[in-house]
Amino acid sequence: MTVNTRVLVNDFEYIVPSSLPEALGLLDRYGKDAKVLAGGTDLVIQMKMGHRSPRFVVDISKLKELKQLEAGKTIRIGAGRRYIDVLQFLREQGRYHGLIEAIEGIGKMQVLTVGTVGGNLGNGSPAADTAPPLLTYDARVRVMSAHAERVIPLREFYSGPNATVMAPNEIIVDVEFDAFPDGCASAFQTIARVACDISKVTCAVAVQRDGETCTQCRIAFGAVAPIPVRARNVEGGLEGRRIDALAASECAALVDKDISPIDDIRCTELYRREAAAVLFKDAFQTAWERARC
Amino acid sequence: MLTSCTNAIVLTVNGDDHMLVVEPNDLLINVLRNDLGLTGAKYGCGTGQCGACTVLIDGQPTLSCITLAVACDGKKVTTIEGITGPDGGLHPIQEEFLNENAVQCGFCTPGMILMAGDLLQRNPHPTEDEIRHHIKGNICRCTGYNGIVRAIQNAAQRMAAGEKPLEALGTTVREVVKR
Repeated sequence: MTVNTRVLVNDFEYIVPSSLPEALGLLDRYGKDAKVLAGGTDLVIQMKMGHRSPRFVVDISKLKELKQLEAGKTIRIGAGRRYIDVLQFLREQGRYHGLIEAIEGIGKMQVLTVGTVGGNLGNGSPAADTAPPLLTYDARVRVMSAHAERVIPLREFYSGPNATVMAPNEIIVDVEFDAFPDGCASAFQTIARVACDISKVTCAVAVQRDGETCTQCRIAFGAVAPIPVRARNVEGGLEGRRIDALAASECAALVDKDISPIDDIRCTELYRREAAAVLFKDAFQTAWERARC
Repeated sequence: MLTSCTNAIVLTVNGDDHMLVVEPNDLLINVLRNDLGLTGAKYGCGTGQCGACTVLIDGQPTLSCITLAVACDGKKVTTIEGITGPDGGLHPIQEEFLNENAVQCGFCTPGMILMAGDLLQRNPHPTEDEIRHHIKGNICRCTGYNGIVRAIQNAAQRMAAGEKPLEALGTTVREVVKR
């Protein structure tokens, strides 16, 4: 059936809570009937297409509690911070290129001015661009409900395609990860049909380098499995190894074992397997060069 | 069933204050086009892909087809109708779009010009790559983009030379009408 995207047909009540506790109280009361609205670049489209039809839309875009940006031993990014603010913050840190490149790749300026990292993760998409770099940073997602707060490692955050372990009464407050020690660097690669399209394959790499030896390596892929995944086999092939000209190419053969892509509207399984290996090589080599002290 | 819930909002559009009563599911683009008669922002894809509905909200480029009008309460919206030179004529960006024939069917033009203005406010001396990067969310099916890029380059030169103040973009250019 053709959807008329000129209008939004759902009826819903729009609520602007003035504090996080008030927002959490609303979610506790309305449960699955409520959805939080931050930038709306996913939610409003999903509502137009009939994929979601909340009875209550809780606008959390103005909540100060979700706007933290903290540098130090722990990097903390408030879930309600707009992408453009996060980009500026990360550029000031001078590291974390993987996450910077992922956010830049998300799309057009018109999305960066309203979208948030919390929304990108909370939406649960296997193709979420910020997920692979944050997986390589071993990021943790802090979520709150009216009754409790919990910190979920990002690798345990996704429960399936477009699904997370979050309960309907929970809100992502922030995303945090440990600051990079010296000799660490990261990179991100994506492939999509046109500049602002949803990614067909994404790959993020974070490496720690000691001379020519790779002391630690974390690799993650997006859009090639039901959820964003770490590539343990590839990581195992690189960690502790002296990196020569052949290392990345040899380990690229292991990518196949770590991913389980499907055919879909954007491309085929075979294409994704071929592209994932190529993106890994590019991302690894970029991160490796960046880690040179 | 939900009771019908309407919301009173105040939108400042191109410097004019408007008191409006909207439904929660009213989209900003429809309020601008149908209620205020400002048809510059275009309905293209309706799903945030083409950029034809671009407006500036509090100076930031935003897609009005996926923005709830009710969420814009108290905000300043600038549409292509609010873009003029200080003397009331065309803005240098608009003049350069004409000079370079950067307009064919014209459907993408309002979004392109607003994005060009946004770019030149952030970065008065953009490279060609930076221009193309900034308008990557605005799809043009007629021109092949080259004329648009040249128009923005020309406008950047003129505006950097101080021909017309940059502030003419995204700020009040009409008298505020108090209702």
